Amino acid sequence: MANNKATTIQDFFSRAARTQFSRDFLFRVHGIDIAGIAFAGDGSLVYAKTATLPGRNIDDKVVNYFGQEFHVPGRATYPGSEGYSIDFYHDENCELRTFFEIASRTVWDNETSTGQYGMPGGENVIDLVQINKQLNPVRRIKLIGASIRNIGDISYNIAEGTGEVQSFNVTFAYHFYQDFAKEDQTNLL
Amino acid sequence: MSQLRPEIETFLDAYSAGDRGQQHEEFFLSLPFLWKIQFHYSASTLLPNINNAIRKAYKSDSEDWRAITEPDKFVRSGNVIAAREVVIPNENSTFDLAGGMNLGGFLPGYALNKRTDFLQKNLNINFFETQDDLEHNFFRPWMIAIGIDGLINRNLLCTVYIKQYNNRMGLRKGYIFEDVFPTNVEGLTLNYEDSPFTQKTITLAFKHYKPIVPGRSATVSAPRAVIVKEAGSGADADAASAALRAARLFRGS
Repeated sequence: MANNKATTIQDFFSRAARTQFSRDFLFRVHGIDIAGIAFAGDGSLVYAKTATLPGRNIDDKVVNYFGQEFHVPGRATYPGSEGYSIDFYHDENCELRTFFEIASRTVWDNETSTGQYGMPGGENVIDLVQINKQLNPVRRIKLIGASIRNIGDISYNIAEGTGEVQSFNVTFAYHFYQDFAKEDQTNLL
Repeated sequence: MSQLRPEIETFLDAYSAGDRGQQHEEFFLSLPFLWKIQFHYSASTLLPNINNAIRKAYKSDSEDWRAITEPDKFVRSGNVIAAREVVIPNENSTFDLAGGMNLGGFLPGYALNKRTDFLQKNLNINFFETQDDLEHNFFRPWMIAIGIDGLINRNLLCTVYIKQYNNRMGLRKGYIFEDVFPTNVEGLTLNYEDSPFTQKTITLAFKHYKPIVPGRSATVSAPRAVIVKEAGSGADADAASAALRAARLFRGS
């Protein structure tokens, strides 16, 4: 039977002490394996600067009856799956961006009119890991069927620049992400 | 619930699963995109008959069409997965007015003239134009072969099954089309614009169209649900953690 009493500060405190909070830096892009490039672990991907844990949506279907609207669940969709974005630091020799340029041209090369533009398969994934304060993984999700879409532009400020570190954005598309619980959480990495 | 109008309450009760997780079959709203299609034919009969018919009519290269692929090559998990859309034919009857034309204020009577004959009832299927083009490499030669041999060659006919599934991927209902043959294949427009992937409509005629009726039951049960009950702290929290672990195990299985 549910307790009808309002929650107290003590309830919040005891819950927070036990379950703690996730922090905005406790997240890693652990791997990118798409047509043209494959990154894994602590190589180039340490330059991944910001990324998001994507969401999932159940479509809403409306049924009307006698002036009342009823809401019925429909199919599952993955909002933003057509443009999943990761920001990267821009290294001085432009190596990381060059990799993505290669990947982009692997998908479609307008100079030769050839490319691997078929539907990306289950082997094309982006691995994302949510970690705890001990840097151990607590959740891992795989964006299935990932392929590159957009390599963002970079602005330079030649006259008035202050030496700001440059970064750039890369956008990927994916079909869906794999359920957290389908991976063995004790053996994530 | 008791404050709802009876009409609303009964509607909600009928269409929802309720606490027992079971729902009346009469009212269960299945998602409409859960369907599969299959062609049933003998590959060793249909394809040679198509190619033989064309070959005997066109000995030169004037109509060099050949059936070099077939729907069975596109089947995965019991479905021709190149099919994108199916239009199930309607049923239509034609009525005639009966009686005199000048009846003052009386309306004339009416009588059934005929049901729509099978040649006017069509089964339309849209297919992706993939690299191994099913339309050009199977349906178009098949249609040409029908034009040469005619329907008297019964080896040029096949059977089509369309099945619809419920929320447990159990067979909900389906349709069997017998003695099927193509009557129209859609043309194709090529341009230099950025276009969506091409789909082409194949129109099929048939002699018989009848339902597949699966075994009926009174209720539709939902797939086994995982219920994670949130708890406050202490022993309740342990119970919640155990439930969460069970949920993960279940979903991972």
